[in-house]
Amino acid sequence: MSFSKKNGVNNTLIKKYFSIPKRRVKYFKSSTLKRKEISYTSTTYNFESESTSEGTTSQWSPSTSYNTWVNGSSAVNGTFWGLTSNKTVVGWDLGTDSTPSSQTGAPGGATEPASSDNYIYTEASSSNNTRCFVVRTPPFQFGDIITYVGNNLRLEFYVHAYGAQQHDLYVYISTNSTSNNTDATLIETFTHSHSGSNNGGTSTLTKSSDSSTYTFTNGSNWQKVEVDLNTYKDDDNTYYIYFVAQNGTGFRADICVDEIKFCEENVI
Amino acid sequence: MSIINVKYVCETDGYKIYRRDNNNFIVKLYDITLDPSDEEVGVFEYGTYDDVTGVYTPD
Repeated sequence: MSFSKKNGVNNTLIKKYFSIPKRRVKYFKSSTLKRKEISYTSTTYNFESESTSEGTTSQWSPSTSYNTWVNGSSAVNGTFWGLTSNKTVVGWDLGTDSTPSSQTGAPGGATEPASSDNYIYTEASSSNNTRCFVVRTPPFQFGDIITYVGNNLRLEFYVHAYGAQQHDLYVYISTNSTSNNTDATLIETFTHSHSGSNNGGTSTLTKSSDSSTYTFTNGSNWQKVEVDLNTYKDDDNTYYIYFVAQNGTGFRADICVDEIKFCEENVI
Repeated sequence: MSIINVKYVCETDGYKIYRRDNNNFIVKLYDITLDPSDEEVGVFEYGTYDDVTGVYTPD
């Protein structure tokens, strides 16, 4: 039996199939898969079962339902995350409608912004903007959950980043259950900028990998963003995703994240 | 049910809602402890407050 590009299987994939354990090779006839359809979606983490924590000195404490998440300094290997300087590490808060501060934050969660809908965010009041916010996901073994190694694997989540003094958002991946900037791999950066007045104006996040931009105004909709995980889709390792936010310059830095999930997109 | 036009203000001990027409205090929505010199103290915005559901909605 031989393969060729003529058969719709490229040489890179042929090499992959014959160099990885057979139990993880998942064959599908190309005729059964339609282009750009989603063939696998993980649990969506929308934090609906969680108790709110919107204070400046306390953060979200994951319940039994989220007990494989780790929030704050417990997710860090060492004292600091250490991205650009040694900022004190804190956890993300959990909100359900607008965040307490005006001029920043989301109007509510990504699913139903107009009503009570939970999400995690960085509470920046009382000089907390100077800190580094860290939260990490449960472990995932992408090589086992993907149905076909030729498909695209990505992390999807919603973000709301309104605020003139907003943080930048960093997404890391690591095989370690506690990590830091040195041993985790930075896989995407969303850099904040703002135009207009502090009480108004437009905030923009720019995605480093492809320069996509996402804009936010006071009370505006959330934006869905995607992070490519193809490097890790054909892999036996267990990975954790770390959400890290820092560099806010004032209290208008409540960056919000919701609806976190992993998706496999058909490409054949 | 009553929807009230309000002013939402950050003060040193919390985020408070006042009636917009006469500035009477209605409720404190969130506790916080801030230094009087904090840049957020005194920052305000306008919105509406539903005194049945307790929901504040910015304009």
